[in-house]
Amino acid sequence: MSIVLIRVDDRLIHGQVAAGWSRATGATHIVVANDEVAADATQKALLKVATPTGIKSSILSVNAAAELLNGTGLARDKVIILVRGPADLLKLKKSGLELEQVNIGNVRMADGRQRLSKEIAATPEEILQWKELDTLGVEMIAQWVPGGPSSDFNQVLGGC
Amino acid sequence: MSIFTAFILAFITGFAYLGRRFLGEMFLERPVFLAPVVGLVLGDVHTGLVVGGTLELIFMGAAAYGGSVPANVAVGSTIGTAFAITSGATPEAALVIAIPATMLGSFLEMFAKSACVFCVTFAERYAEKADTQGICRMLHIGNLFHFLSFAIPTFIALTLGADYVKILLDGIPTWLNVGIQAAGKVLPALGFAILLSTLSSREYMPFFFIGFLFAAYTNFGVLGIATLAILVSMVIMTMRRDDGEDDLPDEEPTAAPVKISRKDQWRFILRGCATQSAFSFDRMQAIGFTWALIPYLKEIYKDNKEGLREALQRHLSFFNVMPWMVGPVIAVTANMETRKARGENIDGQAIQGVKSGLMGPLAGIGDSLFVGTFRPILGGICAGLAFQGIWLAPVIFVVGANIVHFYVRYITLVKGVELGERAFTTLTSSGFRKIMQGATITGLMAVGALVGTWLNVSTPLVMTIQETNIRLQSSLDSIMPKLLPLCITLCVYYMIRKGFRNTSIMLILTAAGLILGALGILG
Repeated sequence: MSIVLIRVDDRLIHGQVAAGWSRATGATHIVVANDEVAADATQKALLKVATPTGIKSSILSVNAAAELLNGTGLARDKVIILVRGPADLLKLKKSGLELEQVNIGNVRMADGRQRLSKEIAATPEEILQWKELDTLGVEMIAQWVPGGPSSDFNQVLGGC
Repeated sequence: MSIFTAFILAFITGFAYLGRRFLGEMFLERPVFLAPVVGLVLGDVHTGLVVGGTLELIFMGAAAYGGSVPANVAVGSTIGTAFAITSGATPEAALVIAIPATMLGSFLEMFAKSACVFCVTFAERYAEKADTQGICRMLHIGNLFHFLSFAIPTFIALTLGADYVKILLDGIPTWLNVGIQAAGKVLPALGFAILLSTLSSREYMPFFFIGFLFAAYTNFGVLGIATLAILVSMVIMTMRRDDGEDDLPDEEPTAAPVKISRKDQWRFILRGCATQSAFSFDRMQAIGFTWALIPYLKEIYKDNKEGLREALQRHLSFFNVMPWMVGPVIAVTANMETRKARGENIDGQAIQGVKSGLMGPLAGIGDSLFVGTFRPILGGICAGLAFQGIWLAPVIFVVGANIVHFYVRYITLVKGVELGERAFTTLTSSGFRKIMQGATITGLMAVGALVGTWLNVSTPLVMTIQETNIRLQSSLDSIMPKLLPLCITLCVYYMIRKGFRNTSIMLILTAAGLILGALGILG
């Protein structure tokens, strides 16, 4: 298995992923790791429909995703991993998955959240989680679409 | 150019862009439509058609996925066309103005999207007071920001820029002009390659080559090949059983759908067109989505100001979906809000959750099908017609796109109301994946056809061997017609896959075109 992209995006498979990343990386399998979505038949069905043609998708709870990714089930695939926020990413990291570089797309703004960059807003708790990922040596790049502008999120974290 | 004409053109440009905000993404700002309109105002439709067609191909792959800001073609189309006409320059020379102006356009769009962050902040204050009027005001003010941020710079550029542009264009020496022409011929490769990269996966790639070969060896034309592609994909899809996608078990409906009157449904369809209004980086379509629901919320929370206040605040949170696909989200939200208003035990968080769950995948479907496949193919076909000077090309583009547009809005809303959340589970079983696959196949063949038809790069090189002159192009043609366009497209495609920035590729292509053109290697 080769992991071609690990992305944090609270909209999971949407246009930027379907028309952008999944094609630009030549992925063959998208693994969505999120507990709520995995338990919701409607959302699961929709994500399946939104998966681009020619690519398979697995919508799993974080634990099940970690198991699949650390196992040999996807040996021949080029995999995109999608999570909604830093907490799930940390779980994956702690399950033993290699996370060297992470792409961060959208973590939305809402009450009680602080905007860190154009792409990312975070709760105080999430900021700590991002920082933990930073100290674990994960390289983080904030970028919406392939070929579009990007910024160094590790550096942004250093300033807050 | 008179002040009055500049004013009219600035208004048209602002309005075309505003169309994306308030009129449901009608694609009025696409070059293949906007440039001929500018031509019409200035009394030279033909130049407008050619400039518009060229820009359409170059910026075919420019699409704003999920709030990202790609090259914005509205300002570029207007200014490029206007100056080409007033200075009597060639359509290729118009690109010298138009392409930098598209970068200006994306700057303006970012400016407006940032300015609208304030509108959302104010709208939230009005929501606290359940002041729906105030929220509506913020929507219109936000849209005014968007409109003016395009109209004013266009007006200034048109009134003050004409003299400079004339000096610039007149100052271009002949050798450079040859280079510019070559660059203009090479640049559409970028549009085609971006489109190819949004459509292709390893197993579907052959369809691109099939489309290309048909274009290179036959006279089918892009329209013919696209039609053929639709038929081919229909045959493949009926012959092939479901490709192992696991079907989900039928789910019991969670609750009986709420009756939503015909009148309300139509109101949702029309108001849903304004989803992208006052678009901000912060909450994206929050204000627009709320605006679509306001009259309905006012009705169901008639005697419950507290409920209305909470609902308004709830919907002013982040929202973003491909605008054509907003209907089902409105339908499901209206359903849940109605039940909540009746006093059923529905948590506000649950409504938020459903909205967030739906918007991502629906955006994915809409972007792949309509923004990534349908619009570029129709644009490519119409650009081809525009090159032939057919004045109906922009009309066909806008009418064709919007028949599909409004049909999608209508059918998704009505089905959403009728089926509620079950609409989405039936999507998977009704072979919708097959439609997506068919669209991918059609898209790939059409891109192949576009490369083989409208990428007119060739070489004027002549080699002298044993005192006979051999034109290199005819040797290439005897290997395979349109070999150069194919190679260039695949090179650009490879660069995209390798992570090159779109702007860098554009610069590289321009430089390569200029130099090789000026040296007489490409033409």
